[in-house]
Amino acid sequence: MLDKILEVLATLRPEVDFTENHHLIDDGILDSFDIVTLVGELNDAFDIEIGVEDLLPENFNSPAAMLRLIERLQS
Amino acid sequence: MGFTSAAFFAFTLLVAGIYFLFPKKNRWAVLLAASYLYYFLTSGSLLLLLIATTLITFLTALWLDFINRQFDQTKTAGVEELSREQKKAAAAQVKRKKQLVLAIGLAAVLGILAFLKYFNFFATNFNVLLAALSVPAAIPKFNLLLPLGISFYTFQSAGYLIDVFRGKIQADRNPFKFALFVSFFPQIVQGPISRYSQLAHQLYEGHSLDYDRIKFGAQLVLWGLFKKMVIADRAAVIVNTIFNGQNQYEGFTVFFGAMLYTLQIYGDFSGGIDVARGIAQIFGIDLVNNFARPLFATSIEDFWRRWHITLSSWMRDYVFYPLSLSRLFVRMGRFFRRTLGASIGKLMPTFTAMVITFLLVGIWHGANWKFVAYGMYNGLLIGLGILFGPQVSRLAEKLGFTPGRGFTRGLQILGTFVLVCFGRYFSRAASFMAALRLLDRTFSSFNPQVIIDGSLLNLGLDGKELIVLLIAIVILLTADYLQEKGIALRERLSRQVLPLRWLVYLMAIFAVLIFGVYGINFNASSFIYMGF
Amino acid sequence: MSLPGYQKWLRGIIFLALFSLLFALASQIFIIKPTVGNDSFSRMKTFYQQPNHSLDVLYIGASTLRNGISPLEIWGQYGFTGYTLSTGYQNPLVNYYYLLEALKYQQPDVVVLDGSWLLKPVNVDAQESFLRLAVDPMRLSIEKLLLIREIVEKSSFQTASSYLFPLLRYHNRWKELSEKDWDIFRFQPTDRYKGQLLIYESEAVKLPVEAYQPTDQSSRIDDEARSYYLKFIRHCREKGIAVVLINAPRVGWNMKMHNAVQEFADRFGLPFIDYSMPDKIREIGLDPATDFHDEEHLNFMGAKKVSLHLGAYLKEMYHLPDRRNDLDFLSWNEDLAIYQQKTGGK
Repeated sequence: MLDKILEVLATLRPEVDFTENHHLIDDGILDSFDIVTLVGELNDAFDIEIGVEDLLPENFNSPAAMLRLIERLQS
Repeated sequence: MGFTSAAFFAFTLLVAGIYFLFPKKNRWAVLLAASYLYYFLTSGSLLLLLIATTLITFLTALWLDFINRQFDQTKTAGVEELSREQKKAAAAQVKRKKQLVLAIGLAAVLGILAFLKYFNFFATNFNVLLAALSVPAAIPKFNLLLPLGISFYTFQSAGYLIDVFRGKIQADRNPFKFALFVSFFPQIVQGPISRYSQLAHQLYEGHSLDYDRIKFGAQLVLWGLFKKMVIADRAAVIVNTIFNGQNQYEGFTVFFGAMLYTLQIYGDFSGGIDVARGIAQIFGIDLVNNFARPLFATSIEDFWRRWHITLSSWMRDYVFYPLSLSRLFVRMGRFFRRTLGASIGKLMPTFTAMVITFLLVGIWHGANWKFVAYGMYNGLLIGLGILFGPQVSRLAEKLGFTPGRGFTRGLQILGTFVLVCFGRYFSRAASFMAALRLLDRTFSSFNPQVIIDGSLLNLGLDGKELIVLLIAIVILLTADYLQEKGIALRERLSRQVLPLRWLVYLMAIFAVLIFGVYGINFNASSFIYMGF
Repeated sequence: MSLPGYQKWLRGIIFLALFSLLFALASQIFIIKPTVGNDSFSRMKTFYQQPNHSLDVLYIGASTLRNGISPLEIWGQYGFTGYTLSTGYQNPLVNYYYLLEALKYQQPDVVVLDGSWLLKPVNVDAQESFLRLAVDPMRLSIEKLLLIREIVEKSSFQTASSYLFPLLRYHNRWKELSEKDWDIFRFQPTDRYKGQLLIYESEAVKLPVEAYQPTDQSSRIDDEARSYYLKFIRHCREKGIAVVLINAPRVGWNMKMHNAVQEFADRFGLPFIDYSMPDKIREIGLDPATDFHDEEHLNFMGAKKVSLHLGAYLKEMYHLPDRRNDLDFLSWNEDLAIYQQKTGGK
């Protein structure tokens, strides 16, 4: 599942090393456009519905955080 | 009692004195009393509108909270009896109910703003339409007074409501404390638009008297006054000459006015915010920063991440995100992917949401077509960046440029500055049509010679004044540049030896006192007349 | 900073003290420097230097009094003392507060008050620069603060802070500072003529005799000006000080104006001496060809003639003392000698 997230991230921003970085939002690596596109891709890939209330920095700062969010929404 | 008046500083000193005399747990009440007094002194009975917005927001948030808790209770109480499907249905029902309550609250709060700020604009244009259709009727117009800071406190209140709705924060239980959150006097005039989670607890807890905080706060106030009184108010003289003139200027002179206006509005707005932040800091409260060196932005999109940050992040969180994640936009994305192809198609919803968001940013500035144009100008430039930015970057790299670095970065900053200046035609000109005329005149003649032939000296500032303005701008840009490099100027300064530090402080204070534009313009001839 | 708390505060206080000192210095540099005509600073300073209770008469009013009355001439002829508190365009508001300020130091028997401003509105904004020249030389006192408050309340743009801290008013002068401005420790000259401004230049004027045809009509008295005159008079009555209204010789005066002031004077039982009236001008021997500086102001020769008449009147009506042989007033004789030298007197 994590691999799939990394795959989505790689198509979004090929130049960023996502395995290293844990402050993607706080450091401004992902901007609001990236977030919106990313949410669309994740929704499609995992058949979930990420809502506006889930758009918090702590849910998108790292691939691991995104994984936790997806698992929570799937349950 | 403006931010630069002696009366305002006397008021602030008095409030600070009383604040620190009170017991810690009551200190917030001093701030509330001061904020309401300030509002009453500046706006009189319009204070009632502020109270109305405060009350509506406070009660709506309590209602949302009540629904949340009721739902939590049924969830925990009846966990065994309910099937998964039933739970889902209950959750959906609660969500609908909450949406309705939120809609009522937002409609009331934003409705006050919309009526006071936009009704006459709407009526005027509607009447034009009626006249064009030869309908013998007209909507009446009202002579409406706009309460001080209404755009700021309304957005702050609306953001709070949405945060409670989203479950990000709990509703405030104390109406008086909440009233302080809405009305805190340093920020009510021009922001920043704060978030409840960031500001409220700071306001409510009592802070102790701290020498270093007072010192840093005073420095920030001083820096803000420098930007406002030495730069902005001085640049305003030339800007007013050019933009209020009867179209007698052309070519570079007009663009010079737009550049100065860009610096003026930056000095004025960020200066005012620094004064507000400095005063708040004296009370031990950190207000969010609203500016991050916007003149060093490398694109229009970057500019809006650095300019009026609290407004653009408000728009992002409460307009752009919900809009682009809404069902409608998701469906739109699918449609465009089918029709325009995957790469452009999937960006279309973002593009559309961005243009709509900036339309609102424009309208937020005021009820006038020129602000609509201002918002569209910025929204479209950012939208184009979303659609074609990656391609342009790839092309630039092939040509040997490295975007974001060195010389290329300089070019990007310069280009962005020019684009920002052109946007300023719309926000500064008297009307949309006036902005178009000024744009037309800018390109009607090529006259770079005005820089050296002395015609810039005929715009209201003499040579000495222009030199002071230029030096002040260089100081501002240098400070911004150093901060852009990550140097914390106030901390760096506080590590210098005492005489140097004091020299810097004293020079700054006297620069503001002497070179600030304030008071009565000195007219020697009225004194030289001897009265015989 | 690892200083203990109190040291930081102490340092902050020292900084504020240093700032205050520099602020005071800067104020001295930037404040308007008096020229001969508007040197209300040295005239006010000299007034404060007069020994307490040493003045028998005060002359208060606009520039026509400053130029048109010579307290030293009166001293030389009649032996009683007096001082003129007069600045350009000095309106009844300033007159009133000058009176309050002066009475803290002096106990005159008579106050001679310029009656002509009864007809003019008190416009604090149009005459802002003159108000500055009247207020800035005053010592800081309750009276000064009250005057500032009244000015600011009436004004559309003036602030109390700019009166209390002149730098806030004059900071724009950074462009035109000259050597004179930097020389702040220069000794400020004192005034030797007891408030009189000696003017030597003369201009021949034509006095309009036709403006004094007898008439029943009178000009309108300004309500606000009138209220300050009444406060002035009431205050003098409470202190047992006599008030004499006068009007100096001037071209722009006429019978209707005279009537208005005369009616006011009669109503409140005050004497009014109008030196603009043709018969008065004849009586004191004023020569329009030589005794004027301009149409509104006398030069020293005109002032001498008015003073001889006014002094005689005051002496006779109020039984003022002759102090010319009083040892406490020797300095007046020294000043008189200088005055006479300057004016080519006897």
